Amino acid sequence: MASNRYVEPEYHGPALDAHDKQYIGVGFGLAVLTAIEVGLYFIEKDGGISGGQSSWMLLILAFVKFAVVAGFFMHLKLDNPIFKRLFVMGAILAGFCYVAVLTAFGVFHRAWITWPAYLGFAIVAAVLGLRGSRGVGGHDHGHADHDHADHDHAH
Amino acid sequence: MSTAAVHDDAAHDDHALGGHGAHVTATGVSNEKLGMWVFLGSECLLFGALIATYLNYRGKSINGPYPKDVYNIPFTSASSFILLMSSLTMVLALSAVGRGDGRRGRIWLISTALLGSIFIGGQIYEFRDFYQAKGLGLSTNLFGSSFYVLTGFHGVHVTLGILMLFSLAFLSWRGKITKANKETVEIIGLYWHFVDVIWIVIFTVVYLIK
Repeated sequence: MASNRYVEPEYHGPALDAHDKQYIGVGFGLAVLTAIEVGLYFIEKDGGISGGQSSWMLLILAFVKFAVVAGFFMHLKLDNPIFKRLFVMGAILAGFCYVAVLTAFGVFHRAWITWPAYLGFAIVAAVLGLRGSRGVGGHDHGHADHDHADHDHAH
Repeated sequence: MSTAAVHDDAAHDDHALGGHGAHVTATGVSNEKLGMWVFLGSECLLFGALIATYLNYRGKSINGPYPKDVYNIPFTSASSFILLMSSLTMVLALSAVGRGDGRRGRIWLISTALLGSIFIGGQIYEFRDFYQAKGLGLSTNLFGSSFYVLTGFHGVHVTLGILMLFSLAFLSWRGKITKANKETVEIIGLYWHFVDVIWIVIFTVVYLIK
């Protein structure tokens, strides 16, 4: 009786290509940033820097790590811009929204944070509205498909 | 145009069309991938709400234990590092599947799932330690409630990701995941990277910033 087990085609190419080496480099960079973050925590604990300085540096490092993973590992840097718009705008909207909420609850204890947060929220909403009115992905890499679809529609 | 540039353009177009470039969509991008990005956008709002709740209740507990009494930063740093490295193995899995190297693709997928499992094992150990040794329960104080809900939701997301990764490895072994449908790996990869970036924020805001 013949076996119907799947036989995988043999692969003779390299184990790692140039992109993989770049990913490994990025992974190493992320590991270094994590080590710096933990180092900052202990430097602050030992009184080397103030809590405020440490908090700002940790937030910046977290933002850099976030952007590197999203840009390189999630391919936002190279992929179609529509994904970047969706994710970045969503994240910015969420950020401004929750800053406003936390300020309203008195977490930040500073009223001047509220107005920039609301202003930022309004600006992002306006940018989203303008982009939406121009049509989704008007200059994206999928433009050939758009043109084709429009052409068919006209006919 | 150089050969490298042609290769990059082809790779870019291949990405834009979702790896198999089979169907034309209204947006010019794969519907499945677009759907995953929209889902991830909504997840930003979910985790944003949970982090905002944690920050709102921070320092408002009237009885202990408090964060400084329970956190074990070296231990959590090690598990954060493991989750970060799982993102690297995930992207290497996608790259291997894209090259048609199914065997290495499976190895990287299983490595990613195992690294995720170590992270979850660490989280279970941490929760057990907090609850049994340090007396921090879900309803002990505001810190306990907001901490367990935030990190617990993240843990559930990681667990679902591990199940999806093992399923992908099994499908690949059965010959259902090949170079032609690498978009499936890419979409699961997007989810996995997202739980990693959320942990980057949680680790900084919840554990490191005092």
